[in-house]
Amino acid sequence: MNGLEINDLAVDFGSFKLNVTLNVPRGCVTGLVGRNGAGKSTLIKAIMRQEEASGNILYGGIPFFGNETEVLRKIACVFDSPHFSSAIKPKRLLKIMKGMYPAFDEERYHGLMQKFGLPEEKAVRTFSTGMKRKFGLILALCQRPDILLLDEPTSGVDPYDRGVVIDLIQEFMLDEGHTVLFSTHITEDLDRIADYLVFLQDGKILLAEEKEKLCESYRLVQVPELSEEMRGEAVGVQKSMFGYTFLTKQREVSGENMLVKTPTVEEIFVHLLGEERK
Amino acid sequence: MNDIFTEEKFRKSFPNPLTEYCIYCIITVETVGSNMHIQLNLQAGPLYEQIEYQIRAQIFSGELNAGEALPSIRVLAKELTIGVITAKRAYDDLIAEGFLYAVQGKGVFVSEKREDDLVNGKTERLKEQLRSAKRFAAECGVSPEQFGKIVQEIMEEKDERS
Repeated sequence: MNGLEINDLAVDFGSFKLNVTLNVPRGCVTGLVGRNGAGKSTLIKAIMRQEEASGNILYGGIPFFGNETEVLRKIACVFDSPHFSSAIKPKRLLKIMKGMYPAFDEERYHGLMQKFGLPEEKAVRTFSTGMKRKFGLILALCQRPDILLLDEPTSGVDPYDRGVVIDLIQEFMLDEGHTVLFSTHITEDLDRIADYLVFLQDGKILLAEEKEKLCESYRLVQVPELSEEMRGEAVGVQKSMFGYTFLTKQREVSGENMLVKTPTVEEIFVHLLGEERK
Repeated sequence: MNDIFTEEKFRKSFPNPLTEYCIYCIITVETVGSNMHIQLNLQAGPLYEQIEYQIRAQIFSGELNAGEALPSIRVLAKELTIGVITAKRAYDDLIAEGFLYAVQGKGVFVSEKREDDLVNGKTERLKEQLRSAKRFAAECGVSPEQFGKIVQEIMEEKDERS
């Protein structure tokens, strides 16, 4: 079963159009990548019904309309900027959350706040970026959702806190009924914990595939000279003073002075989504 | 899939553990531990292969014993900070090779050692060493033919001890 089934979801901003059909598998972590302005945040907002969109989405098999309360209890999201006033103190916010989510896990909330040293009596605006991200994630997790959407949960966060965030996501994934969809520019996180990858380009899905299958379907090649024959099979050729780097789907590539390896998510990103540098 | 009794689940089932159910607490902690140890290097090839290789090596060396329970796929993924599918692939491959076996609803266990596996395991380690030699050869600009010749030469060398 899929955590999310997105059918022909369309958002129209005039100059920018998002059109997405996508299945987000349950029990897995799906990474959403794309360049700035590709539509990642818009897609997440549309899934959360924060953006006017046409099309249809099933949340764990359930449509939104007619099941609004149930769906909104199943799904939690951490947006890239807090969706509450930053003048508010966590203590006050907790009361609001408890009112909105009867299943809110208060015990875990206090436990996590203490564990990460977040003060409950200080306004959220006094928090550092890392603290805000952790706080947002704690609020989302304590709603006891089945589906967790995260818009760049690790951006602007120091390496240690990034580890903490990743750890919280993976702890959530210990339950095989849970689903995570997160957007990020930190491809290293994807190399490690993502099961599936979705590449978004200009509001459309460029590709959606299992991470390892995707990385293994390509070879990253570095050569001093690019022959015509090679150019035919090369994707995203980038030239430097010392030679050419490109992706290819060919399985058997070899030759003199040629370095061939399995690409990382970062390398696939750069060569598939970047412009050719000649 | 095997689901371990996590602290969180434990708390849900026994809301007041310290006074009434402390015995359960001790048991839970002990069942979670594992003898397995794994180190991963993101730059050193597919992660599932690294896991497979290390589990195999620990079975051969006797650090992991037949019948021993291994962590569930999801715990393995969390502890190693890797994807669930990567963890599953490592276990699936080792199950297919016969090093591990899965019991529905109970988890993954180490299989009985077999003699031919021991031979295979040593071959595997030899291959690993030859692969690093191959990488070094490529760095030095030694062609595959030359590399083959060098291996041949080594095989023909007289054993120093004899």
